[in-house]
Amino acid sequence: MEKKIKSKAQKRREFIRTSTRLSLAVGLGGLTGLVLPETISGEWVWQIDPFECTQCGRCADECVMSPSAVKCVHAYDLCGYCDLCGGYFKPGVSDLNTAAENQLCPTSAILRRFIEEPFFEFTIDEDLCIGCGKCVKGCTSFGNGSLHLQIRHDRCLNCNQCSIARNCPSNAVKRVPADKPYQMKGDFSKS
Amino acid sequence: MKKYGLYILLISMGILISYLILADFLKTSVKKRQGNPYAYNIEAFKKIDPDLVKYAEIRRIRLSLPDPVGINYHQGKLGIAYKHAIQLIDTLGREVFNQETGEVNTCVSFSPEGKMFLASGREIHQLDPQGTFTQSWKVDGEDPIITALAFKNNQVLAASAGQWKVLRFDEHGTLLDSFDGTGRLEGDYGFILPSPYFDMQIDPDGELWVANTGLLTLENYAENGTLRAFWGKPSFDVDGFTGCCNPVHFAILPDGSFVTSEKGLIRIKIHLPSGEFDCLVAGPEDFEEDSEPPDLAVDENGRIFVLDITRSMIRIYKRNNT
Repeated sequence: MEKKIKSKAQKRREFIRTSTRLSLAVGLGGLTGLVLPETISGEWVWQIDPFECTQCGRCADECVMSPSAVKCVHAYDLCGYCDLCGGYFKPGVSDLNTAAENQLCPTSAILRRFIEEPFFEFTIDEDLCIGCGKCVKGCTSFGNGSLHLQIRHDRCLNCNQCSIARNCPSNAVKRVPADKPYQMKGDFSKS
Repeated sequence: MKKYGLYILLISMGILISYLILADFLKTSVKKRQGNPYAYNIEAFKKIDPDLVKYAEIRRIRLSLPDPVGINYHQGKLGIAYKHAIQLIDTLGREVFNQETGEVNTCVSFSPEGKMFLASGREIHQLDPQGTFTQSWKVDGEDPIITALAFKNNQVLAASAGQWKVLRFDEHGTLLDSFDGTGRLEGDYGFILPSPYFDMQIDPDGELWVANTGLLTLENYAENGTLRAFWGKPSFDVDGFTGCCNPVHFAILPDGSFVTSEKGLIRIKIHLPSGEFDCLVAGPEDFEEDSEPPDLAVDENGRIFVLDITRSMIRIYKRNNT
């Protein structure tokens, strides 16, 4: 009788031991499965999907860098080189010139250069750009969206948890492989 | 006794930490945030004088297929191009046919005899009244994006937004010639199309009108492709066109007046045959924010069919009796 009880107790202990080992193995296996693809494919960095971005303005304020590591970039192959650029001029301006009161950008980070009648080139001064996306909204609404926001990796600290990603209302900030760190319009299309 | 003190300390610390976390969460929650301090504000331009609106919406037709892209009218029937289908309905919304297509469609049009044509990027298709494809041809060249079709002298005119050209084909699809709008009196710009909108219509007198969106003008071209007349000016005011590339769509009423559709600040407006602003059909507040600009069609009674792409419906407008 005592032997029987002993054997039952042994079986229970054995069961608990096996279960513990099994759950440890499954847990570790799962964790490895999650981590392995990232380890194998190398580094990951944060980037903005320009087709998901809603130009909410948070990129300017939420980044741990000051000014933000998010900058406006320009897809020149898409740009219409327009005289009346919706990303450069404030809505409703009467004179199409570079006077500060006509400019939409709060820091005058967009430079307008005459090429030939009636075309103008618009370039971004990244040292002045704060990544607010105001010009992006204007260009997307009234132009063709050639201006868009990207995280510049020469400035980004690649935080483990990106502060902008945490606060982005449209989940436009995502991890991308470090060997393809940018999602520029023109090269990258909405899937 | 000592143990109790420790417990009280631990519990107090727990409550304090929980309070701090909760307070921080509530303070920084999405709802508590102030609005976008860098917002692109065009609210002032959305408000329109109600006296300028001389049309009323009389009916809506909800579309039965997804992703509408273009609309056209011919003798009581509406042709609707969807991204991957073509449909013919009557003006009450009853379907005559619908046909799935493989390509991504861009526009639909009718010849004066009522032949239905569909453009899908670089291809032009002709359909019979039952919706069967009877003829198709490819448009050669780099990146042709056919955004409008018009018909004149048994020829098919195709506006190619990718090439900044109007192409002229015979009725069997053989390319005859093309013109790019250069050769104007002032400057030599030709068609400038910053975004893929390039509409074209024939007016009741048989004249060809083309939307040169980059210059914010509607332009009349002679048979040989030379500019004959134009009108349009850049302005956020109601009598002009906004942004870099408008009007994105237009139609011509039986009296020769123009109905225009703009993007960015969505406005449907009527301009007299001279180009002078007449009235508004619908303003920005009649459409959802960041809507796709609506395509237009008109019937022989002057009713306007507005394809509200975002809401996937046709909105029919009729001029008020004055």
